[in-house]
Amino acid sequence: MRATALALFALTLAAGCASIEGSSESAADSSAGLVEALVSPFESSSTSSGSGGTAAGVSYQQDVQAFVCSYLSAPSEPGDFARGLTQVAQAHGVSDWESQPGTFEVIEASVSDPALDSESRARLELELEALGRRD
Amino acid sequence: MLAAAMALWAPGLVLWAQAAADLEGASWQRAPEVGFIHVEGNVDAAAGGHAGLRVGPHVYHFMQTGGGTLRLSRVEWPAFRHVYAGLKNRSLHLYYLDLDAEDARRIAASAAGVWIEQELERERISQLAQDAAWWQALATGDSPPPLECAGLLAGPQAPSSAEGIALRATLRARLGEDFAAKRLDWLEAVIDQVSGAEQSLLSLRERCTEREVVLALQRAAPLADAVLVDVSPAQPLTPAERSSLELFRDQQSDRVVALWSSSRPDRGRALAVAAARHHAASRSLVEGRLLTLDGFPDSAQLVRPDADEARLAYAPLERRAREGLAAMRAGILDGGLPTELDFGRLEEAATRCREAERGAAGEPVRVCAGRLLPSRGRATSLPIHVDTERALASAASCQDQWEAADAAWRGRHGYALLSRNCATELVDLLQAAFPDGDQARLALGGSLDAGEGFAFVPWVLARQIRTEIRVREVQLVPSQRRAALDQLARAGAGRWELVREGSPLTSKLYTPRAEDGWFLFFTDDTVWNRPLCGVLNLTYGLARSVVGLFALPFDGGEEASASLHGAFYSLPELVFWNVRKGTYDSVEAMR
Repeated sequence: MRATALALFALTLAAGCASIEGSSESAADSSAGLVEALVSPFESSSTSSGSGGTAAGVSYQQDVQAFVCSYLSAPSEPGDFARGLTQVAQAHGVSDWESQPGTFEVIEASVSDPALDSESRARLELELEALGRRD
Repeated sequence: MLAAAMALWAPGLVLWAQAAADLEGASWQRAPEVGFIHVEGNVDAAAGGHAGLRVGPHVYHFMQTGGGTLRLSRVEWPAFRHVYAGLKNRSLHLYYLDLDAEDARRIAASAAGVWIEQELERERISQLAQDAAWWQALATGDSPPPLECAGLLAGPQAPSSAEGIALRATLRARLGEDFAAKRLDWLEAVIDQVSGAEQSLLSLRERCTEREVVLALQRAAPLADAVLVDVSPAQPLTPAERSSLELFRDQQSDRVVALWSSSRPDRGRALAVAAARHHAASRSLVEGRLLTLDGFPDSAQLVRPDADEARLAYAPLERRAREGLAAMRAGILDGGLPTELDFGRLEEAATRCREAERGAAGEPVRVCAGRLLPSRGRATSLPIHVDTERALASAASCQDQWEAADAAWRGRHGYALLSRNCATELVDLLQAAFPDGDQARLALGGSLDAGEGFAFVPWVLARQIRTEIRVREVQLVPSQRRAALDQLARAGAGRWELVREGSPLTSKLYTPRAEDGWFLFFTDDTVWNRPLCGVLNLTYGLARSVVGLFALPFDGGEEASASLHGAFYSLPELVFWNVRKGTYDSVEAMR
């Protein structure tokens, strides 16, 4: 059976998962980028997600949450937390994450989480302090 | 490779899931729909099909990139559908998983976490390469690579501008007359300290960026040349748009003040973007038409479309971009204050729209995946001097570290046809959301094993998903051509019309493309006569390749190549297997 599958693959040369990037796909890339830029805001704006705002805002907050979990799972250097937030924000087209609604809401929710161990809580508290969010 | 990453991740995920259960009501914690996507095959690299995981608004899928590595890509569902079902004309089979809300959230968090981890790691590797280049520049006295965002505002030669003077006045009023001088003194001291103590020059780059922005604000510099996109030159601002832009301009001014006191180590970039957006909004208001910042990074790939591509791909894209941009403009600049998320989208759409215009005119087009954020860079002279030998040694060391990190990355993410492809990695991604196999089995209602049988083949994996785990709903998103055929049938098309659509030579729904190869009959919507069509397609391809041989001196082998390509992909049809479906330069509807 496996040999049959291999033969079929040999016939068709590849098993997919090819990148759509690259010069031969430039039109597709342009098209995809444009669709992503144009369609999503409509869906974001029209799909209000209740208390958290638009779908784009919700997606951003979910990524911040995922980043916080990632950050707590590994040691870090000073500044890594803020730089990581910058990168998450950039993936959403946001530069000024300190003013972006939801950024600190998510981090504060993590700090308040009773399931968080004391060491992780202390790390987040320190980061918030470094960002001027604690007196 | 994901298993190791997720071992580190597991405590965070458990925390996340518990937090999600505890804190109900926040919309960012709502459970997303999770569905496996099987993308049917098509010619060339798409022959074996493809796989993806739809999680809420996103699709995660592993793509083979340059250097033989697999990279986790995340795109929004409309874009994925547009490219694969539309342009690539491949039907999508979605298998929505029957999951508890908590398990769905767990999968969403896991996938987002893996993607973010990957992006952070790529950035760390990229910073090592930058360190090597910067040390080299320090050693030789050459100009270092451009500082991102430092090129949004004009350099020292430019005269001051009205918008720059206005922003400077605000900063003086709120931060003091000597706001810039004090900050520059501090930056010079920190730059000296950083360059003398550390091998990593990330902090140095951040401080140098900030220094450039502070200098530009001190000079009341205008925007740099060619950094603006003139969205619709003939369309004046409406009163609502003016109101939104005034609010946005003032907000950006406030943000520059706030960022001045920020503790972010990379605040220079954010300062540059906020100041540039302030200037762009100010200019828009003065000139009475919408001007936004160009969002493409300096590293964007530049491609030049040929005449056919310009006409068939970019011209329709431009039309659509214009329509979409107009609607977006009305929706976002509605008289209120736009959020940065929304304004950024408008900026990006305007930037991409301009590229579509250029493509339609046959001019070079910039291409870049993912969200765009203005980041125009500028090379500057370095304000420091270090020992040459030390700089050379550091350059060599950073180069070694970068090469080692990059090689390690490639080792962990290498593509292997049978054991590490888009299907196998997707199974790992799904299962890594759970602390162990038992919990994964419990959550999914069964187990998946990409190493079992032929599950490394996307369509076989799709079958395994359908039969081995709990699937709530199966959905078909038909390919562009099949959707059009369905529409034709629903509209009461006659038999002959449908027969006409069976061949690319007579079809009105498909235009033959050399990339698809030359063939006589479509076989993706027929089974029983597929071998017969295959024989005819094969014969047709071979016959045209003979003609192509004679055309060789005139067309550079284009005809022969497309003919042989067509003949080759007719072979599977002889054994009832369809690969070729045709593709499109452009599809009209964003379905």
